[in-house]
Amino acid sequence: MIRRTMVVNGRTETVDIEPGLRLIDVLRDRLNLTGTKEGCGEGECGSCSVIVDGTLVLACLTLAESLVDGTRILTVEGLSNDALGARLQRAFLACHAVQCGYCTPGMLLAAHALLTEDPDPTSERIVQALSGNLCRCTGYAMIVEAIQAASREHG
Amino acid sequence: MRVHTPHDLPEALELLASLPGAIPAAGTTDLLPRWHAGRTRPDHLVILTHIPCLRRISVEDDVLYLGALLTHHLLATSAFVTAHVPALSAAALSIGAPAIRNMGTMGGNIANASPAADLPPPLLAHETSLVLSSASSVRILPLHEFFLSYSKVDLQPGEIISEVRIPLLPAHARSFFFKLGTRKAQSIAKVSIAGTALLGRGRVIESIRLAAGSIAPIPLRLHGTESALIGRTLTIDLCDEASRIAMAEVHPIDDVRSTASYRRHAVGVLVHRLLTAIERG
Repeated sequence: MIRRTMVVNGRTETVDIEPGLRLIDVLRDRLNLTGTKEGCGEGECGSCSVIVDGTLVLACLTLAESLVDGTRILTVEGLSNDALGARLQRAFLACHAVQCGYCTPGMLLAAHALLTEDPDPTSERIVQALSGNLCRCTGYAMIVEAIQAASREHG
Repeated sequence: MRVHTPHDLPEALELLASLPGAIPAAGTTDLLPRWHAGRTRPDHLVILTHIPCLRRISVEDDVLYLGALLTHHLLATSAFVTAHVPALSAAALSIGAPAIRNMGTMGGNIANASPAADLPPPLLAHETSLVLSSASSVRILPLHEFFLSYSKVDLQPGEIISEVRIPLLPAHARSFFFKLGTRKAQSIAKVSIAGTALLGRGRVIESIRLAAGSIAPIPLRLHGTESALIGRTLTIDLCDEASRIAMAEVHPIDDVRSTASYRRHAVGVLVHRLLTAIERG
């Protein structure tokens, strides 16, 4: 058992971590942040995408103990308190980019990472940025449109 | 299992030397699914991702030094790597998807010893050496001597890959990577090919190095194809001939991702594509 302090969506959280616990387990089972979804559990589907110290990663492939104290984590629950996150959420609603919703948290975080780096991406760049996030409902077109809309709203 | 997060290299190497059964880990993109499925249970994991010196990129005396902990994203976007080792940055960009490229590292991609790994073919084509560090020694090993047999590498207990060294090629050298998978993103190679070449006057091939993945138990140079090309003029006919020689030189297998006969055919296609790219510059 090891104690780690991390800053999750701006809140400082102290968690006792058992060996082998993944970041997704900490988020969902310890902190009750169940917005982050586990799809495949092996890095293929992107539904557990979160942002750790400014970088998009997969929570199912991140060993919680490998994070050092003070690590900053952004999950879907933190997006509404963040200007870009809130803009993306509104655009996803307006463009009907959500159907069953299981992939949506990961899509939002992947889009957040993209627009942070490139506020005005081409549609090709958007498709590349989402290439690790599977959606079996929408056919992706509305998700790409939503990200374009969020990017335009900024411009 | 205990997880250790050292902040400098001597501390990490000391942990690996003193803890029995300790293994080094970085992006954990491959390790964690295996751990979760119960297929690996190390007593100690030494996490290398918090050691800044393992991410350095520098050039000295015509050698490019790349820290083993550089992520695929950093390899794909570094100006030095894209300029001097284009095949390596192309291979890094072909791995997984953005989140995986932010996590996975070059050292892990090499040390995992997968015959389908994407980075070894371009590293072999660029005649890379590895720097292998332990608490008691540092040794330098040409990459082709590192891969011993399927899943077996020359990495001693307590040793890590700390750096790769890539001799820089002349500015007019050409360097390409091509991969065939089931889709553009998130796919493990059915076959991959990397190559470097120097063309002289009249497109005479002065030097050429070809390497391939998923065509044998380990990533390999295609020496037979290379020697058939040296000194010849690079024409479309020669591309056809090289494809046939390469198809005869490789020994792929049937597995979950493809069949031996498809792979052999794909080697011919990719060698043709590679030589065409070299011809066009």
